[in-house]
Amino acid sequence: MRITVIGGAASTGKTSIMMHTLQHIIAKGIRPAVVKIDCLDAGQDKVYASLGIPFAIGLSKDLCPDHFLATNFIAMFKWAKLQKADLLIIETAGLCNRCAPFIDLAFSICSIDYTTSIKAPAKFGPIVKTADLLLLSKGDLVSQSEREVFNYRLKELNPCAVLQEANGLSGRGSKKLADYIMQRKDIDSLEEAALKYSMPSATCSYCVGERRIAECYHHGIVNTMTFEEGDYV
Amino acid sequence: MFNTITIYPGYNKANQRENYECLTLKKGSVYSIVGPTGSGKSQFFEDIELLTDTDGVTKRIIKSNEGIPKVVHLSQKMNFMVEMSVQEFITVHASCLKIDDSKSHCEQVLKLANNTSGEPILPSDYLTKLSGGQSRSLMIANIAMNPTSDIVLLDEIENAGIDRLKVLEILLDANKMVLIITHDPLLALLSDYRIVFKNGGITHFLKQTLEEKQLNKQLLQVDKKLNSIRHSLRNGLEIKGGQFNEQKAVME
Repeated sequence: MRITVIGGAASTGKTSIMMHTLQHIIAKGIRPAVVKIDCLDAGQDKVYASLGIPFAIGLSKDLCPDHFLATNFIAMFKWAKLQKADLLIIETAGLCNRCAPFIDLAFSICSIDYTTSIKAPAKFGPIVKTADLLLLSKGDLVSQSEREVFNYRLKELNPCAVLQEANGLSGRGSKKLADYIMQRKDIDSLEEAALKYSMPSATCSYCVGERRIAECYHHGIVNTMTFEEGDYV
Repeated sequence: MFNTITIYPGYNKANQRENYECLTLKKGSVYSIVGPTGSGKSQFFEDIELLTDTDGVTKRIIKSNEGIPKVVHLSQKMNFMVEMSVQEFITVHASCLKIDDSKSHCEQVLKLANNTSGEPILPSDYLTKLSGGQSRSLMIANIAMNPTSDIVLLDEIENAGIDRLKVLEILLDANKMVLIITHDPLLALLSDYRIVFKNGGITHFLKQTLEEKQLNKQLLQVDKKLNSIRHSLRNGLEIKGGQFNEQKAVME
């Protein structure tokens, strides 16, 4: 079974573009299964289900969705195998830009929206740096020259990644994306897989539900900012 | 080396297959795209931009003879989003295009963007504060002065404050493939070929005739006249009867 992970901020067009892409894949006689990872129920479960393919949703709720994803990769892989799928697509929201939701054995797609300003690529960090393909949407809304600067900066951050533009409304670009996804080799298990980028050491009191902010409630690994005299000018 | 793109038929809004075998467009030629609003002209540009392979709404297939051509596009919906001064942005853009002399590049872009009677864009102006016409003017100038492009797609450049004939001249000197969506008869007749759209599909592919070339010379005169009247109006002048009659004479 092949495996692809697609991550990226909310509303960048992940689901719209994947819906077009999956139709090309299904037309080739491939059976995909999709898992969507989210923090809260976004009520979008019907979108993928409308394709008549195995679909599951994983809600991380109080946990960091990236941690939740890391601990559920193998379970999702086994589930998709049980569904007799040829391809597993995992869609997840990359949230704080601190992490990347990718593993080495899966094809990694980072979805980015051109309207986030050309200053943005530098802020994206690991999710851009560790992706195999950068999926660019909403290019029809920004000037040509800004797109060129944007692409250049992405290439600087990740020279190896493929840049693919796509339009979630018309489906343009979805066939090429489908080809990239299908180029990947089948794998039997994820037991040997590793995250491409380490997750943060989130082991403070707030990780377990603390809400009071006074210093006496800071437990575990905390990192407090220090301000020198000069900083208050 | 990239030289041509070939377009294979898709479907119009009535789901009828377009009636041609294939169309081949060449580098160094200008193609005008004409047709009523909503007839599929802009969709065609988006197909070319991503070299669609049946994966757009029109289901056209577009192939290049070799490699992936670099397509630059000015659509009607584009905006400047970044909070930067004009000069700062053109300099950053120049470095991405590997243009060494960014200072003179910046001057050339601004000179082109400002070469009509619009209020000038200053290097210190912020991109997001430019007027609609100024933004489009600057976007077109940026596209015209981009040495890396192979295919240039321009959607209605007549509504920007820029000398559209000058832009065409620069692009042709640089041997680009140029496609222009236009409602302006002058621009439509300046091109080597016309592609006509109706109801979402291509209906005609026409080569410019000698007669049209002749007519175009007359239209250029009319255009000059219209420009002078436009200039007078913008400067708060009254239009005298003589001016109008003179223009009429040219048209006859």
